[in-house]
Amino acid sequence: MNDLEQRLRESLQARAQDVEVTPHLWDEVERRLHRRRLSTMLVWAAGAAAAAALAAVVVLPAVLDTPDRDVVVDPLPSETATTDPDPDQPPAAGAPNALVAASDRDIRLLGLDGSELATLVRYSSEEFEGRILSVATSPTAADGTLGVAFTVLQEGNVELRVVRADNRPETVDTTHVGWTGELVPQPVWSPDGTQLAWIDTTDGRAELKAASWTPGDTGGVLGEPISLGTVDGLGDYQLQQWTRDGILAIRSDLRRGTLAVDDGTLRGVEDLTNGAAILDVARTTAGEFTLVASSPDVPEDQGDAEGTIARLLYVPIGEDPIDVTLPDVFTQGTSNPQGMWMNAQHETAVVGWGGLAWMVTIDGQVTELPGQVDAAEPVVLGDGTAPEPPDGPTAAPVPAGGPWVVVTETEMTLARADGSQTVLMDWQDDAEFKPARVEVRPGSTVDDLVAVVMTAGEGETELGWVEVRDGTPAGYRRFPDPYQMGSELGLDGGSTSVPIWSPDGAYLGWVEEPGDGSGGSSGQFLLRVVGWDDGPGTGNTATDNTAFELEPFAGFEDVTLDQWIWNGEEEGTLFFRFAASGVRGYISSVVGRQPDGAITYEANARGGDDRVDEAHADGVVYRLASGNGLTLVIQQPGAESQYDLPASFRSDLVRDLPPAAGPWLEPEGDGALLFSADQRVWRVEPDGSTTELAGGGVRDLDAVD
Amino acid sequence: MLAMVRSGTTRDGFAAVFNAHHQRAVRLAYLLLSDHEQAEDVVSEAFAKVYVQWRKGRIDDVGAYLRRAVANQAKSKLRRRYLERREAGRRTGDERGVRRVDDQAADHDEVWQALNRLPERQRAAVVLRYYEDLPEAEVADILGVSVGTVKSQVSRGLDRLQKLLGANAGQGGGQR
Repeated sequence: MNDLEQRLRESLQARAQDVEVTPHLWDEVERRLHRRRLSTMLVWAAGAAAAAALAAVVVLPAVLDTPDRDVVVDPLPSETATTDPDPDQPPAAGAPNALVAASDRDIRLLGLDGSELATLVRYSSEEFEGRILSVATSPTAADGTLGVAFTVLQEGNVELRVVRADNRPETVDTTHVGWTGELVPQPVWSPDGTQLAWIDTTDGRAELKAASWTPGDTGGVLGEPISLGTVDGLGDYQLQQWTRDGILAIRSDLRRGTLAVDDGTLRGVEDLTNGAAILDVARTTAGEFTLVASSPDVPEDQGDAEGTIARLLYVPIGEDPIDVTLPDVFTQGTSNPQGMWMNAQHETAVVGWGGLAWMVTIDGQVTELPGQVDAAEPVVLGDGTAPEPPDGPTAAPVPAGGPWVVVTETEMTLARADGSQTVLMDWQDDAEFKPARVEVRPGSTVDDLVAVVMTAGEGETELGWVEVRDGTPAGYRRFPDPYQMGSELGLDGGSTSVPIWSPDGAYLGWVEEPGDGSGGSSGQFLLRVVGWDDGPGTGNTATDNTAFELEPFAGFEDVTLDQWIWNGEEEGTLFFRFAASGVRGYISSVVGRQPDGAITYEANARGGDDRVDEAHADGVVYRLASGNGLTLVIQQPGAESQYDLPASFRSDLVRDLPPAAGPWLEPEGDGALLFSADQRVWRVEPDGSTTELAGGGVRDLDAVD
Repeated sequence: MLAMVRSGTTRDGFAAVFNAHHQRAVRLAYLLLSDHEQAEDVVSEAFAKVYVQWRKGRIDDVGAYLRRAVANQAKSKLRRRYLERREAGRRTGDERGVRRVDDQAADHDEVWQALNRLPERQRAAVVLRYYEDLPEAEVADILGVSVGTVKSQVSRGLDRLQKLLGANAGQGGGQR
């Protein structure tokens, strides 16, 4: 041990010895335990480990210390409280013809008579020491398939997985949600069944995340999760149901509200602690089921009632509630009804308690499901026929207008203004890397073009470029290793932002976040600038390849280089887009260019970086806003214009100041903007008119000058 | 299980766990954060997390589990604190708000002062390595990084400490 190490040990020991624990520490621990115990009661009722947490229904807490009367509270926030069916639910949701049932190690597809149609998931005890915690079934897709999302707890990790349910089961992907063994992230499906959202509590933060899923013959692919915002209040939320207004959520302090999809904030919060005795609620296209804890009816002369029984009420649309027959175990009285759960589809419900489950219909039929069932949902399976093409804009892979360079999952195409197209690169046979983003070098023309493409696969990214010389495609070339993202740093893992060009096409810049060695984020960011001279790198040490530490962003969650503007020969502005815990926005910094072309970057060159609330581009400030509809707001000095976006655009995909993936905006220089989300692209003209350029499958496109 | 919780049996058992480990946990948290109040906040949350697993009988080594929980909570706390101070600094135009040094702790202990100037990850690696005396593999496990990263972080941390202490000595020499 050298002298420094010895001094370090002594200093740490001396400092630690000075630390005295205050008497209030245990009180504080107890206070937090109380909150967690309450939360545990809400979600994991005793004796039925996974039973209570089912998605697509509203699970309300039961506070049963004084069950002296039927107490029914509105299961949804007042603004949406109604017995009308959710207008956002697909109309195809009719009478169920199957059940999805889950236990610790398997998920089965059952017929209505209890017969097993298919095993969707089955883990052997040898390969799987954990257990399935919760399931959530998506709305039925046009071709009748369902996505069944489920969480598993294994070796302290909770993972989110999705399996397709249509008699051709296939587990399509696994997403590591995060280390937690306490509050299980309960996934919910978007109303159209194309997205899955959950609360990720990794690193002690609670982040609302979503991933896309595509039903159909491909089996669906669970996309890379994107953040919808950081949720205040740590991980003590349980998601209940995703509606167009947001995601209904219940917090462990018995407060309920709606999580905004765009930033994770909780709205319309109300207190549920005033005697809520609803055990579970499920809204269907036909009405609403409510499982209620109540006291037994006992004549006054026979003393006090003992125990608690459950009643299942069904309220058809516009009609009076009726009692639905329940199995005896629900009605014989118990002191522990918290483990009871219920899910419903149309006029059929599945109720369960303690590993047993029954299907009940409103006309009094009761059928016990075979085997252990900790969670189940009635579902509608189609016949597996191919879906009809959706109405609306044609899903042409290459947009009209242009010229553009367009990348889809398999191709890069040059689309000329006259409508002719040339495939510049084909990744059809490349099983590993697929194109993700493209950036056309400023000054390019359709006959003399450089387009940098970022490809991604297996958690890695690769930079390459495609050229067109004298009208002839010159093929794809990979960036040499020294100019690849992160390659110079000798790091294991890490992430990078999309490279952007300086306005003169002389430099490429991007942000790198070195990994922490385990695939996680380091929170330390670097600005990389690579000079361009017939390819990446110039061979001139002044301009070849430079990295700058981005100290102002240390500890942030995500930083990307968004815009690069030259204000003159020697000075320009970089706009960084960032996301951090509870904060997101843009920060501008000064970038300098010395006479020899060397780039200089100093974050505090103007006495501190400047925080801006919107993205700047060519003097135009823009942002997205979503209210009743979706509005694109373009602000210019002294003027602000608001443009309505196409009604077909899904507002639930829009996030104000998106941190990374998801919707993007790109100025066209003529006052128009390209606006993309969900692999569809619109052009918004200065007069507010919009034209859908492409839908379905376009990953990115960039205009050719 | 609920009956056990309500009867107090589990609570009493956990109180014993708390008594055995809380002091060392608070000290570790303080060394990571340089703030006593935040250290206790971190430890409270860490014990709450430990409880959930301990109650289910899933923890073999409470001390190790608690160290991991404290380190994770401290990491979150540091990030939040950094952002808050950064925001405060921006509002006042005083970037001194980003400093991690707790002024209360900035006494004559030069090593401690220098430690406070290490980046968060280097500091955590150094504290776990030299205060807890943990092998690199265990530090890596706690921090959720590879052993190589721990080696790198500790090495860079020591280098930086050496430079900082050297700079202080240099300043002192200049005054002579």
